Amino acid sequence: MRLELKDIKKSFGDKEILHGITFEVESGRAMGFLGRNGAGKTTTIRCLMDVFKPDSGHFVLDGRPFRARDHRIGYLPEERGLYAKEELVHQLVYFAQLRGMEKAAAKQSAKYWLSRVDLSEFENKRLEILSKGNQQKVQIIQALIHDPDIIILDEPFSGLDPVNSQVLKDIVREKVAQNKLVIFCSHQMGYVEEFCDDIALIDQGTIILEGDLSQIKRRHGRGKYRLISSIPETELATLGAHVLSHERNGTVIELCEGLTKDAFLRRLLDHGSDIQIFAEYQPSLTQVFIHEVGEKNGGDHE
Amino acid sequence: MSNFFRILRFEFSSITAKKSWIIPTAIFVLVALIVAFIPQIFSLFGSDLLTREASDGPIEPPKIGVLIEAEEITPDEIGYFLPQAVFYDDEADLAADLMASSLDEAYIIHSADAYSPLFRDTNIYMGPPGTGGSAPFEQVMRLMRERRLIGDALDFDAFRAAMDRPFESTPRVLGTDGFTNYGFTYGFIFVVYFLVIFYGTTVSTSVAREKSDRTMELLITSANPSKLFYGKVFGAGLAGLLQFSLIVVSLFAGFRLNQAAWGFNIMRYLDIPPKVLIIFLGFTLLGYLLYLFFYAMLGSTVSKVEDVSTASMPIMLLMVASFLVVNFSMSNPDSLIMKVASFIPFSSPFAMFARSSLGSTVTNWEIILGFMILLVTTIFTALISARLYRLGTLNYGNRLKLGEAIRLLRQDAD
Repeated sequence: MRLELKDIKKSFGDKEILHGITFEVESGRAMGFLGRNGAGKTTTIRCLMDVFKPDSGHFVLDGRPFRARDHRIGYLPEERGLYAKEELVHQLVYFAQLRGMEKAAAKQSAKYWLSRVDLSEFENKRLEILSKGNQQKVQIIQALIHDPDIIILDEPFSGLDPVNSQVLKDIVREKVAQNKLVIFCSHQMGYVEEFCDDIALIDQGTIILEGDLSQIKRRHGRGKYRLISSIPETELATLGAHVLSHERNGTVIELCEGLTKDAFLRRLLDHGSDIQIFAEYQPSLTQVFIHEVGEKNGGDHE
Repeated sequence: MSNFFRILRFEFSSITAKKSWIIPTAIFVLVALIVAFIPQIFSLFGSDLLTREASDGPIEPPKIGVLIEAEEITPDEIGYFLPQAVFYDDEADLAADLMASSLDEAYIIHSADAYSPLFRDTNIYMGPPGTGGSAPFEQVMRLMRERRLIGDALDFDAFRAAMDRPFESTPRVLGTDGFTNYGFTYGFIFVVYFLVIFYGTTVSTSVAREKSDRTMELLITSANPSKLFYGKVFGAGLAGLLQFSLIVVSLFAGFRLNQAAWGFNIMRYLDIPPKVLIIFLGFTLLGYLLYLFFYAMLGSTVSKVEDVSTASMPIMLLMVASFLVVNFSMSNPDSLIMKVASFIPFSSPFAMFARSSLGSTVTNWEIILGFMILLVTTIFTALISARLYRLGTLNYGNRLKLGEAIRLLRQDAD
């Protein structure tokens, strides 16, 4: 499956929130949809889910117009909402039935998922008595209970401890392996980096970066190197490199134009100082994010 | 200016400058004026609001028809006390003349100690049939007894005892028995009132709550919003009906079981004519639904539960006003105001029922017309409110204002 968002625009009142969102998602590859708070992630997802009608633009699935109600979609909204005063199994079955599942199958599936996330003992308890993290797990089950083909998770890791995060990661990986179409909205770069194959980065209602994550990283690291050595920063300039930043795992440098990696390495060795690491630099997703968003915002101010 | 006054002024103006304060105040002032001007307003239409028939000119003695079944009483004897009495041989003629208003009062005398006053219609001010309305006639019966007892030359104690023996009065109501109907009419109007108050608020709160805790987002992405909306309204509606019918049925059953212990014929007050019951059920169910749709619609214009009471204020006012108008007019069910109220969809659930159970002028076509108006309004409201609900669900955060809502509805229709 291949889901494409084509030039989605949405205004509230006179203010345009989405200025033509375009990106695509493929099944079997986890997609991370990233952006700062208020960038337009949730609005985009709501348009996709037909909560809001976009002012213009199209959603296309495998070449055909996509309407959310025609598909089995598992949706974890950013704003969590289940019935606080209802029992877990009861409301999970209700939601599964609303999405077309038979009652018996829904019940079976609810029990399977509750045991999978270690909540079996609460299956007949009211949601409100659960801790926040456990409620979050129930929210996630709600999105998976009817075995959807398309899974949209808006900030799924918020509120989960490391153990539960691992459980969720495994589930998401499993779904990706089952060739499901997975969209994963977050501003927690660590998780996205860990298992998303593709990303789309939205800022102020515009997609500013989209594509294969490892390629993007490579592109952002091109011409940059990571160096740990005893050479003082001032002397690096004389050797033909300028310092971009200092990170925990080394100094990030860029070579002057025309200077090759090999030539620079020779100069380092000739200098005679102690070199621990000299490697190609791969930025983290956070750095890519800050770089892209900062660049755009800086550009806006000019 | 001291800080106290600064604060006072700020607080005062922050309340009174709001539309939510100004509009209800204006409405209340308007209503107060309208109420105060009712006599003038109605005189414009040449109708006397408060009395069905205005009596002018000198008071004439009532025309009284009497049918004597008792052999010991003669027309002359009655004529002695009631010179204007007209005598009948046939009960049907007597009843017909009373209904045709050629008689003001009619009585059947069964024996020297028992009689039946006949009534066209009764209402709450006449008291239970056989007390207030027929007291003068009972006085005549007493005078005739006294005359006979004097002739019998009893001793004083026997005379006292014979005079004190109560008369057996079994009233017959030929038209609408407004007095005995008053009890259940009053009760049922309260039932409708509370049904709407409780379950209207339940519906609007539940709509707003699902929005405020965002269950809504899961719901509308899992099911068709119209179905959700109707499911919600009918779900709460049925819960209300179930609850109230359980209460009403147990009340009736309890009265029936205990009627002996009540010491008077309580079932007479709960004996609902089938036609009245059908009208009650028809108008109540539809009216209830109409109000629920309004409450749900208003609930969907807000996104926080605490805003519900402000948002549902208009419909609440409308309901309370309808209830009060009908409640105050129950003593005069054939008045113009009641008539008007029985066609307006918000008050007809109260008024048509009250008119048909208490009044005597409601016709079948009026009932059908009132019902059709209510039905069409309810269907229209259902359609509009379901669409507004769908639009309201999109409108997180801000309260949906009326103008905005209309704009959205039009936009959506395009």
